[in-house]
Amino acid sequence: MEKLPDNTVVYRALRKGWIDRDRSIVKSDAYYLRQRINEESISVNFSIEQSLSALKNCEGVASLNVGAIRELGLNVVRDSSSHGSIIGLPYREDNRPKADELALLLARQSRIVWESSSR
Amino acid sequence: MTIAKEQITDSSSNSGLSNFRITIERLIELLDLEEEDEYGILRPTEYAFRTAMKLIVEAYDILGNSFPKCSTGTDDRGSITLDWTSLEPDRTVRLFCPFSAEKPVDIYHHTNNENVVEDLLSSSTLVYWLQWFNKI
Repeated sequence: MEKLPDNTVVYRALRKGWIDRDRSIVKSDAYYLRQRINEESISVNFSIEQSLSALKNCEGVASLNVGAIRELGLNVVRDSSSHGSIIGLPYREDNRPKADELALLLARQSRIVWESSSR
Repeated sequence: MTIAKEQITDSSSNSGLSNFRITIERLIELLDLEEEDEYGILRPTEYAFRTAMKLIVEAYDILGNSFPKCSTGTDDRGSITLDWTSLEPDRTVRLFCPFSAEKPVDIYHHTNNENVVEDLLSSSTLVYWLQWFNKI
């Protein structure tokens, strides 16, 4: 896996319900690991277009800065030309306060850069 | 299903009935979602929906005009989350209604220097934290 420079921008595809309609901000829901499938990292991409193709019914795309993610004690690695992984998050089932806090902080760092017009 | 499109007010607004109605409409809208998408379950389970409705109605009974509006969502297993968010000051209350009775209902509250999750045994805990949220 390739280490990314701090100034790298990554993009997260947003599912239905992951955008706070009142404030047009990303909700914490976008940053929980799915224990059901033993998910070990949060998927991100390196362009808006790559994120748009990551989810069939993509509601939006958020950008995050890799350096800011690292300031939370997490890391981001590149595992292919189009896919990266945010690593270091706990499952909510294992550590609820930490998972909730990190999900919220990642959400606060997120900037919506594309929104579906069908919302 | 009619979607709430009225003038957006801050969730700390005193228009409690309007905020309550919008919250209920947003919960009902979740039932109109596709059953699942490629990420997981999208539509909430009946248990999650009933739990959320019961807690919200009970909280409104006590809070009345001070009931704050929230956003709603589901996780990949059909649990429901309800979020009350203030950016200034930084304050969040997040109610988690699990997909099944085997998991606890819990509430997360966040400020700049505090992150706490506690199991929710009755609506009085939700009321307490919504009153805390309203003190802005």
